[in-house]
Amino acid sequence: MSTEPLRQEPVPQRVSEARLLELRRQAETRGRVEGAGVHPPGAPFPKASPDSGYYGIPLLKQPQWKWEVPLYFFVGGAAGSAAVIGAMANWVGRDPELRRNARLVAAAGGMISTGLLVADLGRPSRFLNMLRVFKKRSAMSVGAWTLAAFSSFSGATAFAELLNEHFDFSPVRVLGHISEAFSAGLGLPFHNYTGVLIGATAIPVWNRNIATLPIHFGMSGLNSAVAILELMGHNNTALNLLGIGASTFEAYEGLHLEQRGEAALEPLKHGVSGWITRLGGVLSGPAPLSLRLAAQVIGSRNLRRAACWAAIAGSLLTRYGWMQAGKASARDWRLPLETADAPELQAESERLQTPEPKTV
Amino acid sequence: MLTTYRLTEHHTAGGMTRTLSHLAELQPELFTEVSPELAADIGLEHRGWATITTPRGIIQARVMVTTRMRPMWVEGRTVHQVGLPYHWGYKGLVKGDVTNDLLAISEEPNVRIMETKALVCNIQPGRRPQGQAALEELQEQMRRVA
Amino acid sequence: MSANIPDFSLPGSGARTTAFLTDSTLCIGCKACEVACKEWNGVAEDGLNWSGFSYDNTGAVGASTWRHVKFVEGEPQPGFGGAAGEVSSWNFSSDVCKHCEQAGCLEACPTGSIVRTEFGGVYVQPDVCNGCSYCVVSCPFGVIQKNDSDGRAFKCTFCYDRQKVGLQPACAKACPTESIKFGEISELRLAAQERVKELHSRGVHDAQVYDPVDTSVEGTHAFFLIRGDPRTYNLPPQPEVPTIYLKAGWRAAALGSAALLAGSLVAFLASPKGARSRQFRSRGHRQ
Repeated sequence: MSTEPLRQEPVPQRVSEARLLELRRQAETRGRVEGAGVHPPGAPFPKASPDSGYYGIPLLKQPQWKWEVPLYFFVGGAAGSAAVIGAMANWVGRDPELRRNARLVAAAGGMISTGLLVADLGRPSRFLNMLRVFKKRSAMSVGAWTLAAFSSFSGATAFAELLNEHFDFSPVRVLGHISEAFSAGLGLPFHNYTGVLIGATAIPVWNRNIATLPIHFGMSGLNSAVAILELMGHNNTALNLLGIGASTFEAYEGLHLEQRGEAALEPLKHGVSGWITRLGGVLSGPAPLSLRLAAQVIGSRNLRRAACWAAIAGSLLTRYGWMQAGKASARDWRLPLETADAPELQAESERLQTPEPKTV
Repeated sequence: MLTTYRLTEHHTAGGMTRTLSHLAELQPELFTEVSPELAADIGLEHRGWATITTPRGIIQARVMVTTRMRPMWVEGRTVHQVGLPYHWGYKGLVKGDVTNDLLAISEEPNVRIMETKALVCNIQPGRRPQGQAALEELQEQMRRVA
Repeated sequence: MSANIPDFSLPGSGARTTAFLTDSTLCIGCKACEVACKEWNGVAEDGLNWSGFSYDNTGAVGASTWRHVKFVEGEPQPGFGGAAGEVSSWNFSSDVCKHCEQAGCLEACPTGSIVRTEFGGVYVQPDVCNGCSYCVVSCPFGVIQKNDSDGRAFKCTFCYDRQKVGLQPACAKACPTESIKFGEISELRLAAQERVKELHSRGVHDAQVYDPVDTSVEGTHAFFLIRGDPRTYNLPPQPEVPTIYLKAGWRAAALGSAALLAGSLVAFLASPKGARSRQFRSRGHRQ
């Protein structure tokens, strides 16, 4: 197959004509052409194809929660754990001062949590609509009811505690113990249900971690509850043991996440969300663990206090990190378009070296 | 070669549709459609700006590089097409340069339909100067061509 | 094709399960559906930004766009159609809320605002929604979104108000080529299969119906007849309703709660009893 000779053999002044001549020569000499077309400045452009998605526009919508929600995760986790600690301090530990402060922390946490959630709503005046129905298939419905019940009982328990301090009236004490049982019982789901809340969503980085997020958030809550109570002055060995236990789990969780190489977990390791999550992980796990152990060995109160501050900061940063990671994950247009059996996504650099697309 | 056409979203007249948000948001800016070959030759960037000049006027438009536009091979030379929709003006929710500024005042002798579909133009990357400088730029380009 | 589908807009035909069949092979990209939807529902303007993504300046459905036409420019195919040379293909597909059989947003909504209507569509009751935005992260298709200035979540209503009086949804009514077909769901599913067969017989071998019946979504009430891979149109190959993660999630939560309970029990048992951790100003305080 020969090409028609040109009427005038033009001296290729232009990129496109030079390319055209090159393609013709290739076709003449080799019988086939490599690649096609020209590459205007800025090529390859966004296009719609199975490999590039729909112009790289993300499919999923980003979470629209504001700063109140990760703070709520932190406060709720601490409050729920504090309720359980308070009950244990009461019945097993026989530590009335710890019981008192744990009850107060739980109640304050319950109230602050409610305020934070109402503030985040798009229509805060309609917050009571959360209690219109109970849907067990909605983690947020279960959570809303649990929060309502928990804050009621923890509030009642703290009220009984404070009343008892002033009036020493045994029916009040007894009612306080009863409501504390409910408060602690509700604190068990309340302190970690938020992990289920974000895990049972369409956001890839969250739902890929559904099996560990509830435990992770729960342990983070326990860590911060212990830290708050210790900073209030309590020296109970039980708190130290719980702190060591929680930090150990957090350290394990952090290592586990780092080891897993799934593409969906990228936001936990890269970018702003990666920095926040990693810093939160260090401050939640290795830092308080080593500080507590060192405090035991050396016998230093200051090291233990440092462990507490680290745990609180770590718990806060962890929640914000996961929220940012969720937003970054929703923005990743590649993830929802991969099928369940697809191999891991190529790294960005590999992607750019793939054969040039035929169109611009 | 410059050719003009309509967009569905503003069809008939932008003067009516540019003030309606439902339609204005569907096609908010004047853009010119060029082939990848022309873009490569002249250095036009997709989503960048281009300045289009004819003896009568000078306008600027966003650049859309698309394979739907194809260069023609006429008498041994490449002739590129530049496509422009003409629905923008200086008022409305969305504003843009007026494509009709480029058109010559020439009419078909029989029914006096204006000549809009085939014009010669010059296209360059970049935005046009504003105000008096735009006229001077136009005159300068015409001097160079003449 | 369209002549075989009876007119369902007659009032008094009873509440039947309705659906959209959006046939991209008939779509001309006129965006009448986008405009009709906005006009009927009074949806706000969605941003005056030129995207440069072919003729699609909308991007995606969301709080302020409930019908969205996608523009896909194909690669030039040598010698396909016409006299000679290459012809580019230009496909259009009108995107909408999928009204899933198992809807992530509906399951997630804690106020009970999102309900299934008698016509089978998924509907957000605007007088109940309090803008918690949990539905936003629960949609595997990225459809529903909270309107930040209004505070509530919005999406396609399936023109519930129009259907109640026996009318077609606004987009189906406005579509000039009847690319958006509206009718009883089983009839439309049949019509979709017949249309695919017809297209295949005409040589259009990449036509397919996108209706994820084999996933946890269990099919949608708005399905699409598209050419080529669904990923080109941002349609996920494996959408899942997020409730599939609940079992594993609550199991993990139970495990965590058990750990907290057991752990605190053990911790307090292991520590010396009656530890007075700090001086306490006692006011007749007793156990």
